[in-house]
Amino acid sequence: MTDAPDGRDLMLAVSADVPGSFQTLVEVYETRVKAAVARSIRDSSSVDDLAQEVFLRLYKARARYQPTARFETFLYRIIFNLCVNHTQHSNRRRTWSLDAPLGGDDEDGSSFEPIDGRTSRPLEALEESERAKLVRKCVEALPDSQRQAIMLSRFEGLGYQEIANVMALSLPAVKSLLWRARENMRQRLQPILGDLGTGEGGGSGAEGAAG
Amino acid sequence: MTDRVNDLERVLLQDFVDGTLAEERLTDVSTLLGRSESARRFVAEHQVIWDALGDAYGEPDVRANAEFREHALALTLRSATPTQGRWRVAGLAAAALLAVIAYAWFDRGGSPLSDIPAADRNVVKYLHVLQNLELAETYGAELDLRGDFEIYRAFEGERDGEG
Repeated sequence: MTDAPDGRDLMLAVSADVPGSFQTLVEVYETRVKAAVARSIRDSSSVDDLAQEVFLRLYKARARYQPTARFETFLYRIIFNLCVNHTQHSNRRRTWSLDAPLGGDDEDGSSFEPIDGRTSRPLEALEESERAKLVRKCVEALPDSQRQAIMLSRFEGLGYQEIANVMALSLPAVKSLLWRARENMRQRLQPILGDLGTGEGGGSGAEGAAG
Repeated sequence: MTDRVNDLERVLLQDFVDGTLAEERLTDVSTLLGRSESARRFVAEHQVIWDALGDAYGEPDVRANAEFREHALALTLRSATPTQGRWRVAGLAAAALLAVIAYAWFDRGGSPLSDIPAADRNVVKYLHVLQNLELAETYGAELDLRGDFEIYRAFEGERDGEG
């Protein structure tokens, strides 16, 4: 991505209706948008449709684009809003099966139940695919806002303020979200974390009040 | 002495692992990590979680393809530009129609004298003077109604007719 044209300049060119600029923007950001969408929603079958919608909204918003912030913040705000709408729509239609006990609709994640330690295996015993499956299951069980915040932080490289801009939240709220997401994951991923063996043997001791 | 991390230290650690820690606070974190097992564990756990997230989500199975780009361009051109043009024309037409209707409406109701024959308009216009004719004749000079007396003279015939 380092050799790619700057997103801000590209978007300014699109705003000015420079011929070919939008096509270039789609080419540069296609996989990035698809990847961000794929990480944000649960059903992979909708990724292409949502990515198309992202570019359509980007195009429609070209006249009101202000190059005051990073282009990526502007882009991720569109992606975030679309994915939140999509997830809410999916949640309304979703019927939970009996073998999918993980919650996630509660905002603070208080319904989180730690994985039974008796069935867990240490890191070295877990197959890579199983480990990834466990992590994905854990992330999907996070409340939507926590999942979005952790994804924006981990994969899109956004800082607190940028995440706050994307999610239309305050800075302390973002910190709190990230903290709670991390705590929820820490509890859920004890099978992976359990063998860190730092001598204390139980939790980070950093479970102070969030935010 | 407890090894638990307090709220301030927690914020410090969170900023550290998220890469947003101010440079001048690095020493504080270094000291904290040196003395607190819990702090070290927090950072280690964060790293494992971050790596695990990378393994699980780092490379979604998405690929760039020409069909997607063509569809995106077609979608934007079809739904954005022509629609904008159509809406602009429709908006202008609606605004013009509204302006014509508004003008006709206000023109119709704007002047209450417009439906009266021209000869009677002045009678209606100065009706308030005629209604106080007696007062005006008695005290007109004192009340400086010279202008209105001109009007009385103009309506001389009307006054006779009324009588």
